[in-house]
Amino acid sequence: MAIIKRNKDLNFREKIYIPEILKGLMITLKNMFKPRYTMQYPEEKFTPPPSYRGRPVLVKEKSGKGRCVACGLCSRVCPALAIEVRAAETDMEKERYPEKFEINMLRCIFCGFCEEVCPEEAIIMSTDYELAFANRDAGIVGNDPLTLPLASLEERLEFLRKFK
Amino acid sequence: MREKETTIYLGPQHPGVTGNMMVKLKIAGDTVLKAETHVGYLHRAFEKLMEVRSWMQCFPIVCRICVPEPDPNEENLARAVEELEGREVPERAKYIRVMVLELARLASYLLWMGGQSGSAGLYTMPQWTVGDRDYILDLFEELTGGRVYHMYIWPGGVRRDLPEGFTDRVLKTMDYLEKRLVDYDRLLFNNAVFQKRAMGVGVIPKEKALEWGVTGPPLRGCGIKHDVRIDEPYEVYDKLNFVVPTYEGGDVWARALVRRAEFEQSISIIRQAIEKMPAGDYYNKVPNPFHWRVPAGETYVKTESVRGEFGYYVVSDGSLKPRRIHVRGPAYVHGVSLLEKILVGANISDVSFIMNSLGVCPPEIER
Ligand code: SF4
Ligand code: SF4
Repeated sequence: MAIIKRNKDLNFREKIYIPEILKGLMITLKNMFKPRYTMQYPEEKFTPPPSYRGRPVLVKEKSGKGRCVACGLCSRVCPALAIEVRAAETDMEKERYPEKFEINMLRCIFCGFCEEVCPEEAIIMSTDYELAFANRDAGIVGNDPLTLPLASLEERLEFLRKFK
Repeated sequence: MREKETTIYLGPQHPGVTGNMMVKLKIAGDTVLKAETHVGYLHRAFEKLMEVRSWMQCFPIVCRICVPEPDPNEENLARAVEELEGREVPERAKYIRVMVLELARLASYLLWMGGQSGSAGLYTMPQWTVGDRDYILDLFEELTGGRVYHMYIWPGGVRRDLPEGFTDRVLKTMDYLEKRLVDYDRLLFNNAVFQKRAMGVGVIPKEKALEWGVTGPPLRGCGIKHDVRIDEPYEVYDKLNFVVPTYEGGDVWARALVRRAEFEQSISIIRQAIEKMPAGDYYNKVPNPFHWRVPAGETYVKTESVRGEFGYYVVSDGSLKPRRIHVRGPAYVHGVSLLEKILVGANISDVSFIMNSLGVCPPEIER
C-alpha cells in the first residue's frame, strides 16, 4: 500500500502555499479535458437496460385487447398494497377483464412481484422512469394510462422469456 | 477565561450524515462537553410491518433498512429462512451472492470515502467517488433491475442468472477502480490535511471496544481482528483467499486505513469469486409464496457489512408470516451509544467527521 505518513508540520515550501495551489490548479486543468461522468439529463435521455424495473404497466395485445384476466394475484402479492383490481365478465374468449385496474404510484416500491406472479404476462415492469406528478391524485394511475401496446414492450417481454 | 456553556442542536437535517438524526451538544467554546443523540425522525416500523407481510413480501422491505448497502439485509433474511427450512442453495448462487455482497461493499466504501473527505472539507473526493460508484450501480442495474434496492438475493438462491458477458464487465470495472485507487490515495489518504485532521481524533479505547459492542472497521481499527467472514464464514467465504486488515490506534485515521485496505481485499474477493464460479443452477425454487409456510423455530444469522456486524433474529411460528424479525444493526451501536461517549472532548468541527468514520447511518438505526 502506497500510503506515506506525512509530517504533521508543514515545511517552508508548503507553508507559503503558492506551489501547492499551483499544483492543485494543474490537476483542475488536467481534469477539464478528461471524459465527463455526467449526462445532460433532460436533453440527453438515459436508456435503461431491459432488466430495469420501472413503472409497472399492463400489456395490450396487437388486436387491441388487454391481456389481464383480473385474477387479482398481483394485488394479493403486492407488498405495498398498491394495486386494486375489480373484475368484470364478458362473452369474449377471455371471459374476464379488469373493470377497474388501479396502481397507486405513491405506494409502489418497484419490486416487480406483480410481474413475477402474473399468469398471463399481463403486467410487466416498463423502462419508464420519469414518474413525477404534480398532485397526489395524479399518482393513482387507472386502467387507460396503464395499458401500453405490445410493440413498445417487446424488449422486456423478450428478457422475461429468457430469465424468468 | 472560562467560556460560556451553550447547547446546540446538530440536525435533524444533519450536515454530516445521510438521513435524519440529531445530536444535542453541550459546548464550551469549540469543545464538546456532553453529547446526546436523538433519533426517531426516520422510524418506518419495518420490524412491525414484517409481522403482517408474508415471508416473500418481507424481502422488498428489508433491503430498505440500509440505503448505501442493502444486500447484507437480503442475505441475512434469506439465510435465516434457509436455515429454518433446511433449504439447500446451489453452489453457483453462493458465488453470485458473494460477488453481489462485495460489489455492494465497494459501492458503500466509495460513498464513505466521499463522505469522510467531504466532512473534512475536501470536496473534490465526493464528486469523484460518487461518479465512480455509479459504475457499480450500472452493474447492479443490469443484473438486478434496480440501482439502489436490488431485491436480488432470495431464499434458495438469487433471483436471476448473470446476463451474458456480465462477469467481463465486472472485471473491467474492478480494473478501473484499482487504477482509481491511486488517485484516491493522492487526494485523500496521502493528503496532509486529511492526515492532520484524522490522527488522534475520535479515539475508541481498545480495552473498551469489545465491551461497548463495537464491530466492523471501527473494531479492526482498534487492532482487534474480528470479521464475521473469517470467524464464522457464510456462503463461500471460507473458500476464498483474503486477509482481514487491522490497524492500531482506534482513531479516525486507523479506521480510514482499515477501509482503504479492505477496498483492495474486496476487489480481490470479487475476482476470485468470478474465477471460481461454477456453472449450474442458480435458484432452488421456493414453494408458491401464497402458501409458503416456514417451519416453526428461531435462528440468529449474521453478516459482515461495511459498518460492522449485521444480525437478524428471526422467529417463525410455522405460519404464513414471520412471528418476529429483529434487526441488530451496527449503526445502532455506533451511532447512538458509542457516539455519545467518544464525542466528549472533541472539537465541534470534528463531530460530523467522527460520525462519518463510525459509519453512522440513521435509516438503519431506526428501521
Ligand atoms: S395483471 Fe396479471 S396477475 Fe394482475 S389481475 Fe391481471 S392477470 Fe391477474
Ligand atoms: S412493482 Fe411491487 S409494489 Fe409496485 S405494483 Fe408491482 S408488486 Fe406492487
